[in-house]
Amino acid sequence: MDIRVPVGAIFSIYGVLLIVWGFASGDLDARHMIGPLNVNVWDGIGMLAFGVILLLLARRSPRAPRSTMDQ
Amino acid sequence: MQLQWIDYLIIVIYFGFVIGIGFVLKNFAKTSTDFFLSGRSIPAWITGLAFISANLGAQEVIGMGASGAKYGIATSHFYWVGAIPAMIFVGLFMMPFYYGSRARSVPEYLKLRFDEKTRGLNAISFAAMTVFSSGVSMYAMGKLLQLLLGWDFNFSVVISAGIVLVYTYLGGLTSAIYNEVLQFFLIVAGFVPLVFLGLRDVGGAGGLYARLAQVSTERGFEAGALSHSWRYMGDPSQNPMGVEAFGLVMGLGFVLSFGYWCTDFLVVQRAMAADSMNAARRTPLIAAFPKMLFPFLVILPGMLAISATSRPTVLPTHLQCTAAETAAGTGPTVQNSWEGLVPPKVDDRTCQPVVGTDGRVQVDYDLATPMMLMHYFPSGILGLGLCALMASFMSGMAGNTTAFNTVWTYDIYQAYINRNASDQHYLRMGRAATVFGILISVAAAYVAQRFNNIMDLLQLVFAFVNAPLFATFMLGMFWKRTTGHGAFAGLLSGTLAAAAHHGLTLPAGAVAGGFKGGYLGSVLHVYPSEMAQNFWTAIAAWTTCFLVTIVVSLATRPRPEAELRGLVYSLTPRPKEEGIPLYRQPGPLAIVVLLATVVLNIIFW
Repeated sequence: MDIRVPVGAIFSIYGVLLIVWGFASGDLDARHMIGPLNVNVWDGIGMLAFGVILLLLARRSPRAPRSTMDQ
Repeated sequence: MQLQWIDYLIIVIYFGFVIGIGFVLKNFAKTSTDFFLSGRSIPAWITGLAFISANLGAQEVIGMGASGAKYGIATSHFYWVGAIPAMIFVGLFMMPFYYGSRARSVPEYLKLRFDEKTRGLNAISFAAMTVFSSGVSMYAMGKLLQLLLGWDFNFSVVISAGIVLVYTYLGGLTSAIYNEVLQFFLIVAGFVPLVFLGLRDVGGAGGLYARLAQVSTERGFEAGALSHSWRYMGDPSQNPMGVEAFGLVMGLGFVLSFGYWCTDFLVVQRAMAADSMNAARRTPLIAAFPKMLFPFLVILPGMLAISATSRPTVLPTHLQCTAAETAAGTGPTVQNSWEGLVPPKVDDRTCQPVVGTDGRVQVDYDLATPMMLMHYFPSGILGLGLCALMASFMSGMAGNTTAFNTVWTYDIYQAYINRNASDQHYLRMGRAATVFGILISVAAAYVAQRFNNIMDLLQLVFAFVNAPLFATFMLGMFWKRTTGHGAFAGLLSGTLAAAAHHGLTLPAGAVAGGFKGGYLGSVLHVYPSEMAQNFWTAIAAWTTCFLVTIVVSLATRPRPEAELRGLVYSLTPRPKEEGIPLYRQPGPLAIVVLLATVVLNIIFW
């Protein structure tokens, strides 16, 4: 298994969750807001983008550890 | 503090992934080399991230935030002085021997270079140390979750131990490394927004410096003492760390730092898993880049916590009773003892604030980073932040577990108990060692909870054992005349010197006879702080080990040079870098790392 698969997958899932939850929770206290959106949405966008990039990279050139028995 | 379902969901998803990674990698771990060294097949960027993440355990995220709140920017010395130079050294100069000699562990290198007794001493003390520090991690995590979320201590210990057990048992080192990399990215995703929100709240860098100057004068230091790393290091009374530049550079920057980063199998094991000599040498150098930026993620939250002007709206559970008491007018006025977001220390049984020897209520700096999370994060990202915190505890435990099972199997079991078994037998032994290693750690966590003193004592003993180590490795790798008897005698006398120095000195304000020192009858010197005492204990241990090793080596018979090829600098051909692009060569990489570190020291001088 290429390490970018699990890391990319969990970041994508977290990204989606945070974006949806962020929009659903709407406006919060001022210290949680960055511009018009709360910090959940922003961090969610960042995590989703990073996760998708990792998954794409892993698909393009998969790389997995080899067992010494199979060499 | 109340978590919402989304926070629990995020934490549960994390647990699911961690265990899932273990199950997927189970089929990969077919031989003992797969299990203990990832089949030496991991690319450099992954081993590099794992290299720092394995070290990024409990001490770092919570501890460095606490130190940031206590000492300010000077805490960066633990990175820019106390880590980067040693990481460069291990990559450039020591990895050729660790990786090139095909030793499977650090103690095994000592066996190849010196003799059986030196390996045995190192293997046994290291194995004991790893299971206990894993237990201390577990204890710290259980206590923190109890404090913040009201979770049951037993529940936290059982869950964290159980999850670490499952994934290291199944996938071995590869599983631990994969989870360390995942944890690294989680920390970044969880802490970058925290620093952003905190910094914005105090009014950016300018606002932070202004507030730090205020806190600094309130504590009785000059205004810049919390916002300069070097300027006040000339005199221990002028900086909150209570150390002076020489003790800092020699004790922390040289002895302790090189002793840890260059000889501790916990981190070196990650580099040994790399897929080539070039990748192994680049592992610590790649790790150095995020490492030098970590102060902004883990120290800065502590500094922001003491600078914050607002008071948290939610309190940790142990403070809630105090707040009620205070409101009723019966409790002490702990409200005035806060430092920004950092609450006073409160005895959780009596609900009374802890008063120090100076008559002032003590501040609980360990809560600096957790309070930041609770204050600035709404539900959702709060779950992510807590998840990153738990991940750092757990991968610290996993790092210790994988180092333990390797040293146990190769350096204790195979060396002394069962020499000629099949590879599959050692693989099974490694899995068994994972189980009983974690069981001992759980026991240690409960011992720590019951008898704090025993753990303090153990950590002190381990510090004595570790302090002289780097002298042994340095002489062994760079002076071919060093003998096994010399190394062994040096290590023992270095440990004794550490104990003697500690027993004859005291930090200011401490009482003689306890774990703080002074238990050998007379006190010869009083250090301005515990940290200064620790640094000088390390210097004493190193110097003694260095001198004794040389003297005993000269008096004993050297090993023939033919046996030392690949183990000593002067008898080993330099690793070839022909045909490798410049940016992938350890040398140029090291120069970039070093320059960047110098620049950071100057900027925050």
